[in-house]
Amino acid sequence: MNANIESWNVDLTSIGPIYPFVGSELFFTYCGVLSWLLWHVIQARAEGKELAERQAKYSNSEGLNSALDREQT
Amino acid sequence: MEDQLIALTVIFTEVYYWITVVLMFLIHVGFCMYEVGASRRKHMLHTLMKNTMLIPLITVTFYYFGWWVYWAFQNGPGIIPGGLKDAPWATPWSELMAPHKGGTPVQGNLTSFDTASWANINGVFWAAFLLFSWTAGSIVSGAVIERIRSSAFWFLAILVGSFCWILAAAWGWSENGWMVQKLGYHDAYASGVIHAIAGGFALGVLFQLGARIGKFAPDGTPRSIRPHNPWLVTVGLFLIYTGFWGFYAACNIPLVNVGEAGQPLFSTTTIYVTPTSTSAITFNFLMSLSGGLMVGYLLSKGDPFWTYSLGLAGVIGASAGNDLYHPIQSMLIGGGAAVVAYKMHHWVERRFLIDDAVGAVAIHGYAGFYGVVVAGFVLWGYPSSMHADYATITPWGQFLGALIMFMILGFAPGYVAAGALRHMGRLRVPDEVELAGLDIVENNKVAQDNAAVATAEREAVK
Repeated sequence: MNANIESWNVDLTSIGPIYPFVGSELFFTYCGVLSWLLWHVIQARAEGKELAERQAKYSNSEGLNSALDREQT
Repeated sequence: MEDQLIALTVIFTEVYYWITVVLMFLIHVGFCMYEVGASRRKHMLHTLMKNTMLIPLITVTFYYFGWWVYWAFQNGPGIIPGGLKDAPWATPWSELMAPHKGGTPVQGNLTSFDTASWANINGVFWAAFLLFSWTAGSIVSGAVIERIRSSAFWFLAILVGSFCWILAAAWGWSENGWMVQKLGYHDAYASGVIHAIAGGFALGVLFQLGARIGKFAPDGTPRSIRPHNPWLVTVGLFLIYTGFWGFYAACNIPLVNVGEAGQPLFSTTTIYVTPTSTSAITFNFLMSLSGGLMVGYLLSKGDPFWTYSLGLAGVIGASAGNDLYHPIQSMLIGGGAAVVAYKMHHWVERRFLIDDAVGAVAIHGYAGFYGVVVAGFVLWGYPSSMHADYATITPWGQFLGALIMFMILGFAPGYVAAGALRHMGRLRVPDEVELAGLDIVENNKVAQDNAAVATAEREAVK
């Protein structure tokens, strides 16, 4: 059981935090910050790989001219 | 009775800020439409996702540290004694940064007064400031479309949205910020703390990023890269106007007892807790918008993109003092902001070959800077706060404040951070990808899918 509140039939003005796992806030913060940083690492790697592939594909003028022609039509 | 009055005030304030957040969401919808409309077809999806993803990234970082920066840094860089302020309700591990009923605290660094004061207000107040953070990021986003790497932009957006602007707010957009105390800095609706900062930041980034390929002729003459969809651009700007109502409302504190002891007098106040009214800012929002639109139409000869944008510049230019201006002053100041933004944009573009794709530096940066400075002259001598010992509003205090906003907290961090990314080769997409289009793979897939369906349809005709 993770419930922080066992009954709402109490003096409501005395109730503080109502979320589960009170006391674990610092751990939640570590998890949140790590997941944020990890997201950037994963995204930046994927973007770098994708841009390198596209750069290689369009490194010749024929491919680029074809793409530019399509844009103008 | 008094307890019930306090409870009603708290609940009214909670709902008030919640509604401003919903309205301000429209600013972001507008920015996305505006940017996608202004980009060329080959870059549309990238442009959309670049701006969309700043929402979660600034949100989480504003939760992790932005909100705390606002409360902790108000004494400035050693200018007022006291160092960092204690703000236990604003740290990400605080029980008050989560669902809370306001009763006895569990964490030892909080008091019952803290929990009673913040339990119902913290989330909506945080969100109102957060939506300003998105706006700061979004202003930069428009300027750099069609050639910046998403990863680089998101890093820069977090820097401006979750640090630079909120540090500026701590210094100059809080009741006890050091700039308010020492300079008499007055910026009621954020000409400087949002717009000048984000515009200055965007300019710093643009110096490092460079222009889009083909933007300038060999002799430096700028070429016009037209929006692929002017309707999306103008409807987007209309939505930004709409969301701006929420922005203005969110800059106020809706219900504060400003009366003497024993004689309560409730009033709406600015963030400095100086009295104003929703009626006053409604007059001035509309009059400054009108000044900007009228001058913008004449200057641009009726060009829709510039007329709409300069309407926005009108509001931004008058925002610093729109709590106090007469509406006709506000209109004239708004018209002046349109002139400054339009002329400066074209001068900087030609002089420094700066490719600001949507005029963001002009509309937000130059108009915001002008707005802060003009307020110093028009409001010269007004008290900047309810505290008698704080400096009054002066031209020199406002000018110094505008420089701090645009140059120190805007341009400098943008220039340095973008320079670091450029040095690492992580700022700009490769030329080949920019030329082919950032959506080239997606567009090719669409073309293949359409061709396959068309073939199937022709076969069905046979």
